[in-house]
Amino acid sequence: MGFKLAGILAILLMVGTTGGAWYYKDTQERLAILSENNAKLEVAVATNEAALESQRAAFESMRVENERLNTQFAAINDRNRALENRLSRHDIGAAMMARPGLTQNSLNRGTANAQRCMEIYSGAPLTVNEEQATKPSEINPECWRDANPNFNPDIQSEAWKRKNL
Amino acid sequence: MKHIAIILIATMGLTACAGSPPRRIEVSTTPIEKPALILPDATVLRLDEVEWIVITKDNVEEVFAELESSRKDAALVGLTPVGYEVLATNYSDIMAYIQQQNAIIAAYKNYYEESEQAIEEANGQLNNVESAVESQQQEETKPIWKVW
Repeated sequence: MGFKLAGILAILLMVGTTGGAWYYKDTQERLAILSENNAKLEVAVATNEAALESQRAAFESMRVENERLNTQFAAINDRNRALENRLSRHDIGAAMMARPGLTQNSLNRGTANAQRCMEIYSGAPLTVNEEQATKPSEINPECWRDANPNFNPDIQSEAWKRKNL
Repeated sequence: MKHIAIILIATMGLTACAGSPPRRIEVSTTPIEKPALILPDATVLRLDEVEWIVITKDNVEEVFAELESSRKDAALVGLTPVGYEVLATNYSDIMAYIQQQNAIIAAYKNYYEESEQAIEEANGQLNNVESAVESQQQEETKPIWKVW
């Protein structure tokens, strides 16, 4: 009876030990897989966060560019209206009748300046004279903001500011 | 026998959960590199000089005589002062349009450069996370004899 019980217990011990070892190994494998999954999920979460952050940055950049563009458009339209104001201040017809030679020179100068502005807007480099111009007599009145970077409008006479700003 | 059955059932119960191993998640990300857009610059304008001649009823003969003496065709294309003003404002509108287009191109350039920078930063963060996870993964698993 005693031997039988000992035999049964020995078998049970063997089964228990084998089962325990197998259970330990299986648990370790599960832990490894779960840990790996967790790591992958961490990467996935980080990927999502990075994608969201890059989207947020893109939207912010778009907002800034739109704002800048609207400001630039407003400034361009203001400058464009300045020519209309200038033309409306002068009666070109009367000036032509009274002083044709002087008006002719003035028209030719204005056209040459406007054409130079077109060249600059198309990417033509500034000349040394354009870059160094600081006096109203030296600048291109049609596009001095772009053609004469060293010209400071703030230090000019009030009369000049009234006519040009 | 009753005890043996209990022990067997307990052993089976203990190992029963081990039947189905957890599913291994496979994540694969393949970044697609977009080639940089390289375009030639537009041709810079070189405009020829335009000469205006103002004609009134008083100087018309003088102007034509001067044209003939300088061996130019004695014919002129005319504009009234109002027509000249319209031409000038049209010219000014075209200049404004070019400036607006330049501003739009600059805005596109800024936007794409900043987006690219944001993507690079995001990729950098991802690489950091991935390397942190990898180093965590490479930590040695405890051998069975180091359980305690």
